[in-house]
Amino acid sequence: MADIDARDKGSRDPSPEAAISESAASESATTEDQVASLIRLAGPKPSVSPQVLSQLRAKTQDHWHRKVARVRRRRQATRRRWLAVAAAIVVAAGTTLLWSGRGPSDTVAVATIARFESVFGGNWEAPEQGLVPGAILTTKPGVRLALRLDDGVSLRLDGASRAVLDGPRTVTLEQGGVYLDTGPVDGTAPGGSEGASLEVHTPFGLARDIGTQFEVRVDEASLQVRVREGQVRVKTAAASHQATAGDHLRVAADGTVERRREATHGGPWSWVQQTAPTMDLEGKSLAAALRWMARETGWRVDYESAELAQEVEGILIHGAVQDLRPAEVPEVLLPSSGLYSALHRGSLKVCASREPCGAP
Amino acid sequence: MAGAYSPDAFRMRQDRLLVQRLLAGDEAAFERFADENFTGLMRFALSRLSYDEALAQDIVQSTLCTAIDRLEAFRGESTLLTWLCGICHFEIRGHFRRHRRRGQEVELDDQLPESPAVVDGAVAAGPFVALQDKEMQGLVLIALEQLPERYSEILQWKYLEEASVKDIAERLAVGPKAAESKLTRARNAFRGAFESVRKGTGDGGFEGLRLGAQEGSD
Repeated sequence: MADIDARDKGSRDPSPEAAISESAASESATTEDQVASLIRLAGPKPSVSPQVLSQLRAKTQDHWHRKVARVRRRRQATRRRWLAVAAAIVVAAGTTLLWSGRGPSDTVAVATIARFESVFGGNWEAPEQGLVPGAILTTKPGVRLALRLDDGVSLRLDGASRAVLDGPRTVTLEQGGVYLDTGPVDGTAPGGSEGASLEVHTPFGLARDIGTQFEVRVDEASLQVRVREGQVRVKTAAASHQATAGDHLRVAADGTVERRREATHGGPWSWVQQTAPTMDLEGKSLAAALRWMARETGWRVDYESAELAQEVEGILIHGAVQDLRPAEVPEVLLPSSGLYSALHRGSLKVCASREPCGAP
Repeated sequence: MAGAYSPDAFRMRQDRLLVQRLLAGDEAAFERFADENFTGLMRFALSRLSYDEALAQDIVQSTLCTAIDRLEAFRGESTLLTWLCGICHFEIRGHFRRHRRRGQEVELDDQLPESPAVVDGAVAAGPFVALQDKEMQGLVLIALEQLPERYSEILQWKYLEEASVKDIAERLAVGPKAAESKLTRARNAFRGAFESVRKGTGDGGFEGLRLGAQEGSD
């Protein structure tokens, strides 16, 4: 708004280019006067009748449908011309061509970029054409979604949120919160393309990661980024900021940035854990289950000894363990393997006997 | 609030993506296009046409059809609403020119760029003096349309209804400090949006807006 401020100073100063030093109070009063003048000039917003809007919508939509149909017909005509040219070239080259007479299909299938995994707290209807670029995701308060992008990235949308899947690695968050995990899914193959950043665009800044778990949250006044693992770069109008695991960055609408340190488990991460898609544990190692648990809860797994850690890799899970929640892994799977655990300040200690763990 | 990641730059990016989806025939994109723009466009037209609803509807319908035909020309150098209002500006100009040719009386001062109006007070300096009252009014309306609804309401309470901070606090069901804070944010958001609309149209107002291959519909 520097331009307007300079012009306003010019109206009171003979030389608009002259440097004017004023107190902050009088400068902001001038700005307020200017805003006041402009708002009063515009006057009250005229009301618009719903009937008029409805008529405009219907006729415009009709016009738009005709345009889209024209554009598609032009594209098909262009494809047929190219095919005809190709056929002519092949025939001219002396090759026999069997032309079926069927032209290109009327619609071009758009590749999906994500699949829906689960909904929590209510119902949600996926778009008919699947999760293609441009798909809008909207949740009501209390309803959360879990999706999987095509390259394995886990995306979870909090309640009362609205996001757009712009592309395979680009999301726009307009309101609410989104959590992304671009790291290993089951402790073996990583999800997401290593080295390729995932971007979250918001009105107040852009968050970009490489191999990370992080949450982005937007409201009318701020952008907040919490990092659980890895690093995120946040670009705003004024500057670029790096956030690492445990950082909570808050960027206000006026560009000011606050940074504080937080635990990477519990509290604000609870909704993420609640929306974790279940893992098919049948035949997987107990160690893999614990890694999945750690990833979803933010807990660190500490083994009593290196030998125990090795042993746990070889314990395979069999039996009815469907729909197991991440936080249930210690109490459901460890006892049946003859192991003990104790959770203290975000660290889960796994032991071969009760005493070292201090387990009850 | 210039820069690649300001709320206005974000909005322009969203509008570019929306237009791409409109061109691809995405129905959800059309719904969004209508929800986000039609009311603001009608308000703009009403303010320029002495609140004649029937005339405004005709002009806006013509504007929207023209915009659909020219969607490929939208470059995202302004927001979609600013672009639509630019087309509407030329539709209105064409309408009044046709009426003038038919010998009908028209209030020239407010509608045609040949007769710049006087703008008083704090907005009289610099390039603003070249813009007419009506054009300035149009730019302000577009800026207000692009704010969150609550911010637009707060500004109207404060500057049109002369509501005190205490009144605003009561309407918002918050304390006075929170109301003052929201008012400050609303003002800042308006300043940013207005500056962005001005940049999108240039110092020549709508006459300076690049709309595509054809400018007017005279």
